[in-house]
Amino acid sequence: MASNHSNHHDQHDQHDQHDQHIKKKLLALQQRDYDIQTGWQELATQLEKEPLPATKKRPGLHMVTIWKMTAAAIVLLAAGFFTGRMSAGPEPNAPSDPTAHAAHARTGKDPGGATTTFTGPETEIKKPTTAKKVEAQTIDLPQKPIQNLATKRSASTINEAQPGNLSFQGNDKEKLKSIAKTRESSILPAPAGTDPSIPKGPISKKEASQYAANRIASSDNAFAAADSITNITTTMQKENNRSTASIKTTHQPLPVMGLPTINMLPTVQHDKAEIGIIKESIYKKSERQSGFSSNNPFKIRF
Amino acid sequence: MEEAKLIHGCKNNQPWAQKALFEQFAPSMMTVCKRYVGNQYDAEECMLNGFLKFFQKIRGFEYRGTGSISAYLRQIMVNECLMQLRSLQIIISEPIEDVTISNDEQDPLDQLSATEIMQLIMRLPTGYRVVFNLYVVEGMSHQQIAQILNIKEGTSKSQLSKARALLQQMFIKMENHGIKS
Repeated sequence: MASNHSNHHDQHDQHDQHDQHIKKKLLALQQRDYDIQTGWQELATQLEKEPLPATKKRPGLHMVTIWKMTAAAIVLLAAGFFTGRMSAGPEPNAPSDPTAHAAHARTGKDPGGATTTFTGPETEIKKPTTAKKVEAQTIDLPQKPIQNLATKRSASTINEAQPGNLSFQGNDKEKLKSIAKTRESSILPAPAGTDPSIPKGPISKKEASQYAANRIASSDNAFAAADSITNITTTMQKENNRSTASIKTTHQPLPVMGLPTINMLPTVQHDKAEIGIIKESIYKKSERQSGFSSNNPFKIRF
Repeated sequence: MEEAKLIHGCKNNQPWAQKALFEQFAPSMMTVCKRYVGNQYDAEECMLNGFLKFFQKIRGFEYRGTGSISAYLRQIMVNECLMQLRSLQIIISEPIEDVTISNDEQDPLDQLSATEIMQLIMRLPTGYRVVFNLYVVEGMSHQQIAQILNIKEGTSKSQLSKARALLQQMFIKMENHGIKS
């Protein structure tokens, strides 16, 4: 048994020795009659057909290109964003409600007490922009005859009341002037007993003060002035509370009084309970407006 | 020319380096392919494909002195030949007549030259030839051969022993017919 195992082991060793001998002979063997030039031509043809990795575009380079393009896109987006912010003006919180924008543009005043004028893009709402320009023209020339003021006011009123018939763009001053001239010819003179200095339609605070100054110059009736200022306040409040530009303006004659007279008027004494009710109503209104004042385009957080 | 320079030139896709490397190693690689495939035409095809893959993968090759290129090329050629044989499905154990293996201490193949041994190996059946080459020349174990050829380890052993016996019979026939050089 042991001799068989040793014989098998010896036979294995002999095979290993023979294999090593054959291996050396075979590895040293070369086919010297092989046509190397023909083989190389065939190989060169295959190498030309299949590009080697050295000539291929590196994948890393492709990734670098993608990253470069991504970075360039981000830079362009950032530049566009800041350019837009710079060109938009100093008011970052433009009103999202176009009606509030319209009311603000129409009055030219901030009913909530803010003194900042809206300088946002005027192309968003064309109709209020037109009204604003008409009003600005009227305000810039307070010493013009009252008839012209009333005419221009009526022109703006027409523009607001008939948006379908008159579709003015933001800078159509010429059209507006022509319509105002036609209206001027059609306006009848004021009836007897009425004050021609009283403009028709809603007026702004500045206009009201100017009208009041004219009125005071011709009238000393303080009580009538008190009634007038009450009506002015009511009209202005209505004006400020309007939410749409299509609301027709009232043509009731407005009483006029001056600011000094207003300052001389006795102040209304409110009770504490009444003051509390007023405050409560203000806060309720603010709550309904979701934290924003009613017509103020600027965010006022309570 | 130094092999390191050839490798550097091939890595830079220089045609002169590729041609020089091909001229240097093509004859020996042709012998390797003929030893596995068994004919001139298929061996040349395998060799050209092997060189093509070598040039394509040369960036992953690390030169480690003399003989490293030859060893790397031979490994590529062997794999290429095995792939071609698998595609042709000719690695099948072919039944041969029972042969008796002589237990002589002197192997008759030792008496033959390298060219005569090469001719005898090329006449072996494909399965015997592949196992004999992998075991004797490449130095693989039967387990490795079984994994590469997807056969059982015992099959590899039996094919190797039968290949040896067949070579002895062929050698005896050569002696009897006076073919021996």
